Amino acid sequence: MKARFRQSMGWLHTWSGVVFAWLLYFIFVTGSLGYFENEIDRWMKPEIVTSNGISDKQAIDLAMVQLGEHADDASQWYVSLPTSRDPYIEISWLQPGDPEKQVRRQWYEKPLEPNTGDITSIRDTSGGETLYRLHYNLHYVPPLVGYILTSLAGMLMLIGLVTGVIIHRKIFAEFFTFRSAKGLRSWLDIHNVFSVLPLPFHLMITYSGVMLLMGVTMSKVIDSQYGEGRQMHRQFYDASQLEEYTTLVTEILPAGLNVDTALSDAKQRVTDQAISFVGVIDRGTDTEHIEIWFETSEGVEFASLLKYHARAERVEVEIATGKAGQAAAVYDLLEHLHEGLFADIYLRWVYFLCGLFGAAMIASGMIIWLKKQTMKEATPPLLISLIVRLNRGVLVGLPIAVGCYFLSNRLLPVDMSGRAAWEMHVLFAALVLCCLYCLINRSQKQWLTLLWGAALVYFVIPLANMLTTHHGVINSLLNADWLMFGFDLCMWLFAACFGLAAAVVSRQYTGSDVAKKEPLVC
Amino acid sequence: MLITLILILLLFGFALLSMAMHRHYSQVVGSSMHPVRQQLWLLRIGGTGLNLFALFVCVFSWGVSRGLVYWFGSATMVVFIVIGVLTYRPRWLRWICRSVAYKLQNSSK
Amino acid sequence: MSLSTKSAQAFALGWRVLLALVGGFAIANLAAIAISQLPGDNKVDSIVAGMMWGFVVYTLVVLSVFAVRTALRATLLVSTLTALLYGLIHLLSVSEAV
Repeated sequence: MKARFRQSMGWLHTWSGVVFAWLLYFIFVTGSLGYFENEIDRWMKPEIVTSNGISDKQAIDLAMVQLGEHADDASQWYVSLPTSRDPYIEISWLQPGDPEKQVRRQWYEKPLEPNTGDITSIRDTSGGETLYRLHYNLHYVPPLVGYILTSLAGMLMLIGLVTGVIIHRKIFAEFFTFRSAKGLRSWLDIHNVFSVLPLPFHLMITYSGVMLLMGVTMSKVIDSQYGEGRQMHRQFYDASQLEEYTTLVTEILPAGLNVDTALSDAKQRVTDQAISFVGVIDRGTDTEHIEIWFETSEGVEFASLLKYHARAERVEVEIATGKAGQAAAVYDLLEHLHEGLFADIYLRWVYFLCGLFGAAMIASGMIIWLKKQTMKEATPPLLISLIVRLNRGVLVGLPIAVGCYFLSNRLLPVDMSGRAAWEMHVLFAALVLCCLYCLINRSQKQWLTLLWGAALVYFVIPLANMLTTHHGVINSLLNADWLMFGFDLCMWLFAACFGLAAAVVSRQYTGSDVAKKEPLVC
Repeated sequence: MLITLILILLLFGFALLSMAMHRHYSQVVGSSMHPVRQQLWLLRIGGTGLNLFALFVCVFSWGVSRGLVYWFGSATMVVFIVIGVLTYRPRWLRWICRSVAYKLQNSSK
Repeated sequence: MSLSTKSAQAFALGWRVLLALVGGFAIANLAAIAISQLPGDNKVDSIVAGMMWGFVVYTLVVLSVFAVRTALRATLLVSTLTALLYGLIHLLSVSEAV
């Protein structure tokens, strides 16, 4: 009974992993990159002028002039003040739609030049945001299809994790175990290491991932219990996210409420945190108010937001104290754990690495499955050999594709029309080309070619940066521009990792007889 | 700074715990050596103690929710290092086994 | 003979996959609805809780569909759970109306 149970769970583990393995790999890699969304964004917009040492007051004054000039009819204004992750001033506003002039309702984001106060014109780029959104909208498909596919993949992943724990007999006995150079045994050990050690992360990220899309996937529940239609769903979302507030009366007179007075009041109330955003919401209506956001490294539950409303006698300030509902509070906690916005630089790297471990877990699982399939017979069936080839194309092709995306940001002509879209096309074209190469080419050394290719791409990125912008490695080092410098350095680090991997794999073609009998990777 | 302390605590904690397992003990000391029962308990208690102390430091400095995130994240990274050392440089952990054996000798005298 | 047992096995397996995916999804939704109808002051929050538990239920149903001995038992399991949850939802909505 027990053996049969384990067997069926093993079957479920294998197939829930294999069916969507490539999609899951894609989700994990692009999602991990999302943890460095701001840093990537900054690198992809090299025209941005950083503003060190500008005071909040000065920054806000500059921003207000520009907002008044460009966005007088906008209902919402935000000013993003320089922080350690985004060391520049950025203004954003919600442009109201105007069907007559064919203006779409959309958000605009513009960085400011701190010395002149003008809007900096930056290259048209997809930036870090489009890259990280890939992990749930899949870019080319309609959003709904993307959400459903990623949710399905997430569900299978969740099942894969639970069944994995069930079938792994020696989860504690083999906690520290890795036996190198033992063929399939080593791959199983690698798979275990990448799955078991970050298991808390894997469970959290997978469950919260499917949970974040539950408004789409479980929409029938909202339909039947709350109301149908887009508007009701919107209303449900707002109601479920309802915050509880404490309201305090300030010294400010209603007529004196502006961004400056709110800012100085907020600074008196919260002294130990920097301010990250200032917003003017519902401009020109009865509910007009000012929001002050703090840099949120205070806790996983981030509610560090002050809202200033002008009331009859005095201005009142609302301080969020948490979600109104218990389930909403858990949802909130999981959402923030998933996004990791509270993480400092150390934890951000831990998050990023854990995400890559997830990708490595899927990759090693896929390699184990394919090794088992190819070991069964001398000449594996056509379908299996096709999957083997495609697997190489996807596993190494995706990092190459991301590298090409970064490269395209530097190499595509700056005034090209539809440039941002083309950066994404470059990403997917590189992925498809890698897969095609593996399908067409008959060489046994595909792994080697791809890995060296990846090393080359990542090695070239900082060079391209150096040649096309004033933010090359040396300049960044001299100007102490650690974000730019760190990005370039990471690219070389990745190049070194791929080079190392290539060197390890190349031993299977040149090395001892033992290695020749069974290739390291299939 | 605090992170370094936590990483070191966890590194020693998990190294001790790995030494409390026969497979890894013999990997480090020699082919067929097994730790004796008292050694096992010394290693287990020491390792668990260090890890718990690291957890305490995390929760104390960042609160429960963030502290747990720090602890789990750091533990994941540290165990990777321990596995790497056990596989490629097992001798680096020899001193642990020696000092445990030394402790036992002294206490039995 | 062996060919027919093989195709019968394949059919049983395909049936289980279908039961797990579709049946599991239906049960997850029904469970979410049932949970959101449990008596409480905050209806919206109960719906959120229901949907969040839904994924746990989904996982458990899929595991059980593959854990039971035969495809017939899996079918019985899924249909019983569906019927029970329907009954529960009906009961809860009646008591809500009162």
